[in-house]
Amino acid sequence: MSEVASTHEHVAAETGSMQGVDNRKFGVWLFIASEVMFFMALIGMFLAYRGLPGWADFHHLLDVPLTAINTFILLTSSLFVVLAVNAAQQDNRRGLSLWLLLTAVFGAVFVGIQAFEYGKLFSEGASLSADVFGSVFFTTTGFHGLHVIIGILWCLAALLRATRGGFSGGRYMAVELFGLYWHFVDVVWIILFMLIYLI
Amino acid sequence: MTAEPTKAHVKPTKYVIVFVVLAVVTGIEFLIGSIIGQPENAGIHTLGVAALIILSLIKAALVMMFFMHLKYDSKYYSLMLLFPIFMAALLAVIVIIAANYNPIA
Repeated sequence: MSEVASTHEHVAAETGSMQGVDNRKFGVWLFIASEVMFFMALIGMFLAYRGLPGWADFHHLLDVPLTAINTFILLTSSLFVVLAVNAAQQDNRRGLSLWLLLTAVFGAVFVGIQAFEYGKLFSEGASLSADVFGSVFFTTTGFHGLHVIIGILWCLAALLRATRGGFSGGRYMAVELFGLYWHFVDVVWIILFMLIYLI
Repeated sequence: MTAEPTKAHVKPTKYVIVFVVLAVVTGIEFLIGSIIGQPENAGIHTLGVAALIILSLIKAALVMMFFMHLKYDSKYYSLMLLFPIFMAALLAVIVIIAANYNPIA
């Protein structure tokens, strides 16, 4: 499978391939599908254990306003990603680099705020092994945070390639694929924020 | 040869509009969460929870349709996602029912 430098959109030409489907993009969507199952397992765990004795003890320690701001930060980073893809489509290298940099920065801010909240909870005695809530909360949000960190590293790799002109001439599929992953991480947080912090 | 990435079907302004909608809905969710969290509002808790779930699903759908481009891409991507989304929903329903009938002690 070779990357063709072309600014013209055309359907897949491989024998037996689905009309309009890019194998690389389909592969990432398959990966996202598997991640849906992974996070649903964690969310299922949350739904199963929620409300058990000791559950509410630490819930009141969650900083909902701060996390709402954090949710806004992650949503904003998603906007930056689509603007980055748009810049890549326009062959705007500076714009692409700027939006990718902002995405990484906002992602890092999100992780930083999460780490700050973790510190507050640890100081109050919450932990993975403290009780049911701690086990479920830190596992679920921890895995999400790990996905964000991986996304930041991916973003920085894309940024490096962008600054070297690696996405010029219509070859920006890698940016779009990163975008799919980042948006998925955002969607997971949309669900987690609602389930864990608001309900 | 493989299909090149999709051309921009959405103008940047539309992305910003979607983002503003997402931000506003997030604010509404925060308000609803604050309201139903008050003990005196226990009577509307279930309604509030339903509203939060619906709003979150709307946000997720907006991100997937516009930011992830599902609205403009081949329908095969959306079709492929249907199974895990169905399984996820099924798991949620089964877990909630099971937890209510036989609480894990």
